[in-house]
Amino acid sequence: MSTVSSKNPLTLDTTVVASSQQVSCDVATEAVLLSMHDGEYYGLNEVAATIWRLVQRPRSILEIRDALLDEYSDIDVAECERAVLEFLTEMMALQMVERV
Amino acid sequence: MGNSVMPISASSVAPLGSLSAADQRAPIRTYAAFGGFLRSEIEFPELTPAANEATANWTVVVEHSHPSWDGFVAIGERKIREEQYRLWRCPTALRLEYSHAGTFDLLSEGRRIVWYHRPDALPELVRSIIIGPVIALALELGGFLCLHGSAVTIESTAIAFLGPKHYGKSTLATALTTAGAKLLGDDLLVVSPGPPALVCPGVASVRLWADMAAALPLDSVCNTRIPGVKTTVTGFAEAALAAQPAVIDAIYVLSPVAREADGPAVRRARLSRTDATIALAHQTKLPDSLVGFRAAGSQLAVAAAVAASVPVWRLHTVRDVARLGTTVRQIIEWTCQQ
Repeated sequence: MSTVSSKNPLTLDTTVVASSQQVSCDVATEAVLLSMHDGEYYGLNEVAATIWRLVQRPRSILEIRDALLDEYSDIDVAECERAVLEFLTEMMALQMVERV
Repeated sequence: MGNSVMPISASSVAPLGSLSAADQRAPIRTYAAFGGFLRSEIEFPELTPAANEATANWTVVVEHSHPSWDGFVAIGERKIREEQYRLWRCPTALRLEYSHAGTFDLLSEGRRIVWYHRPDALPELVRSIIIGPVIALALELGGFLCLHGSAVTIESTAIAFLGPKHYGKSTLATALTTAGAKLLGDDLLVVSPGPPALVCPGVASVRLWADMAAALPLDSVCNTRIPGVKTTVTGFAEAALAAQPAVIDAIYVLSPVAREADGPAVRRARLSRTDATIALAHQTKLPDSLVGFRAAGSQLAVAAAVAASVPVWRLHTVRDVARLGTTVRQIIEWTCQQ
């Protein structure tokens, strides 16, 4: 599996998908994930849960950013892009998301 | 490979009232527990006897041959110091192997429980495995959420206490019972997710550390104490027991704190729905490492369903037996206000 390193950062062109090494559950607009790697539970807020639902099939980060901009009209493009990259980088470090 | 544990022939299963091979003529008994009936060749002094003609939800039998391992694959394991649990599965059975009490099979979709007799196993331990993790496995197959905790009813609604060992769940439930609440269960809490979410009556006994058993006014609510690793307190008066499933008013996740001279004896903080789901998932009776992630995912969904309809609170209690009475009064007051 590919992981994120400073030499190989995620970009808008990177395509990612949720790893099969987890189980997840929607909790209203939020979500809870259980990682098979570390056995830990992770709570996702509404925006993170929206991204999580989007990566249930392979998507580029550009697609994810644009989907969020459609859903949240009050968010700045640069801020949205930064938040998506930061969240998915963290998810890749936890091995919950994979590069396709 | 075949599944040689199925079926168990009648000739290989000897009736056994106690766990001693010398006492094989004890009658089969029926008990009310976890919202159903348990018929057993092993005597359970912790459980409430029921009429023998009651239709059993679960039947416990003792098998004196060695278990066959044909067809079993490992699902998961759990280690607690020297103790080790392993869970196995074959197409027709689940098998719990426990280092200190032997092997337990769950057959017929959880309705039949087989203990493979081990002469050196402590009876108290064998009973606690059957009415603990083994019955929890059976209940989870039926869609219940099995939590590690204790519960009482106050004015017919249930409040539950969850937390790891030594956090004071049983002490709090027993102290509330001596103050007029009714005991719903100890150690294994069986929750029907609803809505409304209900706690089913569990074992009509509580296991307390000896110092707590001595500190609480138990004589007002029960008449039997069985010494052991912990003191098993049983023989509760009918008026001190909740006999029916009860709607859950609140779930408290215990978080003991050190003694504070000026702080309150108890305080609570409501968890968000997401944090409540995670808190419940952390307190399942059967850990994820034992049941495997597929089953853990199912339990997570049930935990989310319970958290959707029941307030879950973090309960900070001061570790001080002298302030237990204040804590009990505050919990009763919160419950009666709602």
